[in-house]
Amino acid sequence: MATNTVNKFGRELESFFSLAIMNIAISGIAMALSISFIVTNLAAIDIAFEGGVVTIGPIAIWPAPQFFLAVLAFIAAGISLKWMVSSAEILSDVDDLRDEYKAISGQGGIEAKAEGATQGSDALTSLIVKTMAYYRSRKTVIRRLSLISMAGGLVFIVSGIWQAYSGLMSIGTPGAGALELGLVAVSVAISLTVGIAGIIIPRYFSKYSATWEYRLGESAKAEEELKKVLGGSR
Amino acid sequence: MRQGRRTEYEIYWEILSFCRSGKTFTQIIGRCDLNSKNGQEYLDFLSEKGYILRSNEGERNLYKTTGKAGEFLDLFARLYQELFDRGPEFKL
Repeated sequence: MATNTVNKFGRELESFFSLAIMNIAISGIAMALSISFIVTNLAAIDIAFEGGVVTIGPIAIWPAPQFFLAVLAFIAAGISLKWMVSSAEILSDVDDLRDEYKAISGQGGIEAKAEGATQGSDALTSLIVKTMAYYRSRKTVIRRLSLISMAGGLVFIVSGIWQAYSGLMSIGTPGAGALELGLVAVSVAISLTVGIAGIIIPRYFSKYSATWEYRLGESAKAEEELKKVLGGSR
Repeated sequence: MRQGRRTEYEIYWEILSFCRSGKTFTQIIGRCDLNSKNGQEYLDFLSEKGYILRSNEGERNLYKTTGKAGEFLDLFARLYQELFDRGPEFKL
């Protein structure tokens, strides 16, 4: 049983580490995209005003669509920054747990010793206690990260749809050549990819939380047994 | 990484498993991430139960886990490993 537990522990830790890495990568891309959208859309507003009136097809409008995109990009940049900071916090903690796991198992430790020796069993139990304590103290951050990731994903999907719409509306207008439309298509594809990733990632966080909530619930039952042996608490 | 939120029983287990070989008060509170007041309260409780014994070794006061704590330590390890072993597994 102990070897099975050790393997399960290692697999879970690796999965969570990969999830944290994925989050950092996606939030980094989201941040870079947001900044690039801010710059390009602010520049586009400036160009649009040189002609006096901003038009989409036959309709003259104010503010320019680029204004809305720039606002959206500012919101996305803020969310991405928060997303990246929260992801970095999670990654740092998981990395520490992973190092500890590697250090113990690398010494031939847990797996070799857990079969019977006290030291191996203690090392494994200690890691379980630490991970459980880690989840208890970080579950709010994990929940917040899920929400931020979801919000970031939605913003990028809206932005992608908006860019696609603007691109389609600009077809046939002066300056909208194949190259420009190609760049718009690439930008739409990246936005939608980041957006979809932002929406999928929270599902994994929910799965992780559900796994640990189950364990916390079971540990409450375990405490009842421990209380009987200990005869109370301080 | 700082220790996260632990239950009282987890802290008892940490102290008892750490003190299998005699440890000083400073070593215990350092390792188990406790302040002096809480550390003393936990040690007093475990001493009252006869799970930990305080002895003098030269100029040092050492706390050592007694055989009486064995049942608690074994049960704790078994329950925690079981609750991790049973139930769902998180996979990407």
